Parts: sequence; C-alpha cells; structure tokens
Amino acid sequence: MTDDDEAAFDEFLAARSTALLRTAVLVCGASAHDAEDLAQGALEKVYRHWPRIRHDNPEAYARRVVVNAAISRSRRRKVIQEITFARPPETAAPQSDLDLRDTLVEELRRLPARMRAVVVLRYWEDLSEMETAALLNCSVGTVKSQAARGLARMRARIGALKGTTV
Amino acid sequence: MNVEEALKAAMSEHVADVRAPAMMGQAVRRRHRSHVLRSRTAGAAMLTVVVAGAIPGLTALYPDPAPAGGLNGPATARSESAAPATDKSELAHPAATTCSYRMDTTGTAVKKVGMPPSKPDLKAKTMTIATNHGTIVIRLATAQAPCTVNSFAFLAKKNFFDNTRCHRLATPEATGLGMLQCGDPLAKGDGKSKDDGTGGPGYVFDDENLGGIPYTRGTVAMAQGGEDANSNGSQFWISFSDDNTQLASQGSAYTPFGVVLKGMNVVDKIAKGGFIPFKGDPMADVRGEGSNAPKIPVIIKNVTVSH
Repeated sequence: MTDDDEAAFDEFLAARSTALLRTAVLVCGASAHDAEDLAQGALEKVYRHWPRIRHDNPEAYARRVVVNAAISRSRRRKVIQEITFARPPETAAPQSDLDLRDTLVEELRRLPARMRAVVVLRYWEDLSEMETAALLNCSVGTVKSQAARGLARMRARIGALKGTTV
Repeated sequence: MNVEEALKAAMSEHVADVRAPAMMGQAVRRRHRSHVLRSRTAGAAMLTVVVAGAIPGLTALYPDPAPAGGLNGPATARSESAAPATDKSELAHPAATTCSYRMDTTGTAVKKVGMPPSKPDLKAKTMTIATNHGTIVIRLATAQAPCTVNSFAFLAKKNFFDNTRCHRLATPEATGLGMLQCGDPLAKGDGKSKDDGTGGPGYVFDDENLGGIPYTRGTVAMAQGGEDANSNGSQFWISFSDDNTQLASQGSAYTPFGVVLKGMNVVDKIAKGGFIPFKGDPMADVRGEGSNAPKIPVIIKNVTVSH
C-alpha cells in the first residue's frame, strides 16, 4: 500500500463512511453503536483489498459486504448462528401514540433480515430491482416478492395505526 | 403519501444523526493489523473464522487433544469440577425468584405451547433426555439458572421436545467447537434445511448464570446468537469438548444451566458418527448459513425434569 493509496483511502472514508454506516444501521436494524462494528468490519475488508479495488467502485463493494454480513449474521441462528440484531424494542408492539416514523422504523426492524435488506436497498438506497438482486445474489423475482411483502407489512402497520388502510 | 415515500422519509430521519466517527480510519487500520496477526497466529483460515475476534492464545486453539473422560471414558462428566463453579456464580448472580418470558416477536418459526409460569420450581434437580440412542441425564443448576430450568420443566411437561431432532453437530476437527445442538421443535436435522436452528417456543427469556459454568465437556447451555443476548428459547447444546471454552472469551452469552451426569457416551457416539456438511460445505455452518447435521439421526423421544 503506497502513501497515495493510504491518502485515497482516507478520502474515501471521509466521503463515504457515514453513508455506509447509515446503511448498516438500517440493514441490521441495530443501534449506531452495533452497526459501527459491522461497518468497520466491511471497511477493513475494503482496506485489505484497497490497492486493487480503489478504482473500481469501492463503495459498492463495501455496501455489499455490509449487507451480506448483516444477513448472514441474522442467519446465525442459535450458537454462532443467529444474531437478531434486529430485535424489536422491548416495548409492546402496537401503541397508537407512536408516530408514523417510529412505527415504520420499528416494523422495519421486525422484518426478516433479507427482506429488510431488500427494502433498505430499494427504498433508501434507491437501487433498482436488478441492482438489488445483483448485490444480494438472488433473482429479480425474489427482490420483487420480498419488497412487496415488506411494503405490505408496512402498510398493515400504518393501517393499524390510523385505523384505516393506506 | 404512499408507503414507499413514507418509508423512505422514516428511514432518512432515523439515520439523520448517525455519523461515522472521526477515528474510523484508525479503527479500521487497527482492525486490519489484528486481522493480519490473527491469520498468521492461527495458521489455518478455518480456525481463524471460528475464533474470530478473540484469540485467547495458542493454547485455546490447540488444546489438550484428550479432554477429561475421553471418547469412551466414564459416563460421568466432571460433576466435581462443576460444583465450585456453580457455587461461585450464585454469589455473582443472585437467582431470580420470579421469571419473565416475552413473546418472541422476531418472526422465527415457532411451536407454541403457551408460556411458562412466572414462579420457578426451585426444587428441580435433574433433566432426563431420552433419545433414540440412549438416555442423557443432566444435573440442573436450578439455583443459578432458575428461569431456564423453569422453561425446560414447562416445555417438558407439554411434550414440546418429543420426537424433535437434534439438528446440529459441531466437531473440534472441523469447526473448532464440539457440541450437539437440539431443541429446535421444527428442525429436520438433515443438513439440508436452512431453517434448522431457527425454531423456538414462541417466547424468549433472559440470560442467567453467565460465567457460572465453563463451557467444558459435559456442560449444557442455551443456544442463542453469539452477539444476541437475552434471546433464549428452547434450543440448547451439550458440550463434548473443552474447546468450547473459547466461546466464553468471545463474550458469548450462552446460559449454562446444567452438567451431564450420565450419558456422555451417547453424545460421544453421535459425535463419532460425524456430520453431514450443510450443502456439502462444512464451513457454511460457521458462516451461519445453515447447520451441519449429525450423520446419525438423533431424535429426542421424551424429556422429563424431576426433583
């Protein structure tokens, strides 16, 4: 790694690490503190391969690492098998005094990890169905159905909040 | 406003205050250096993965290959050594007298039989697991883990575990840990079903007795995500290797609640049979993609908790 590489990596961090951390927070449904570990791990991988990938969309690479790490951690079901990073808050579910934003974020946390990743990539990162499928290494059909199911759950929660359907 | 827009606005607002720390570059580089060090120290990528994040030292990576008891050793597994440890934990973690169980809202597959009573039976002494390969008797650390034991007593009475399959076998040779994992009510135990290891009783409860019993051979502990505290359900694991003590140094929160008194030979026989690697790749288990299932099918016939 040359000095130039190091400097370019610092620039990359300054420009992109906050966005990456935000993605990590949303994708794992975790606190910023927990997500930081995930983002840091992804950035370490970026750093490891930096001279090779620096000219080849390192942000997309980092995002892929974060998203896949969040999903695979969530599958670590019990004993090195599951992290439910995405544990919903301890408070009981439907409280009508929660505002819309809290309700949606809470519902987002409750989604299964892969569905949550699809929803975040599609509606927060604004990736296309095809880009999302490529990033998650799944079919476009899966992206469509997961996104639709995720949105349906959001709608249901909003409906329950307002007493009407949206 | 449609739901997509509402969601996007909610997500944006939710992370608006999140900022990467100024020291991120330093942290990443530090992590990189320790990663490089780890790979070199461990010598084998496989072991690096298993103990990722915590290298207690070479002794933990390459422990005494002949743990107490041995593969065909006496059925009694270190009940003497467990006693002082549990006594110590009683001082460190005073046991709860009422237990609280919460609905499992994580959307995992469940077999529902209701919720355990909030008042634990503190007289429970042993748990007996009858399997298709013989019986395993566990001395329960009821004083130290009353709510865990209470949950098992409840589930056992509901026949929750009857005809369930132990879905996961880890061996020290393959993945650095030695354990048989059971208690997923929906597991197929075929090394192919990706949902194996995700099932539960529809409720979760808090960790107990952490650090109270080391994860050495013979220890029985609750299964949960390595990083996810306080999400115990019905899955548990039986340690047959002292290698598992490295889990504690990783800070993993697996509630230890008993020690095998009789039947380690049953576990050893199952372990000796080897496992079916999940989708043909033994390391997929370590990556959390699925479970390596015992090659010899293990079916729990009945569980009883007695005084």
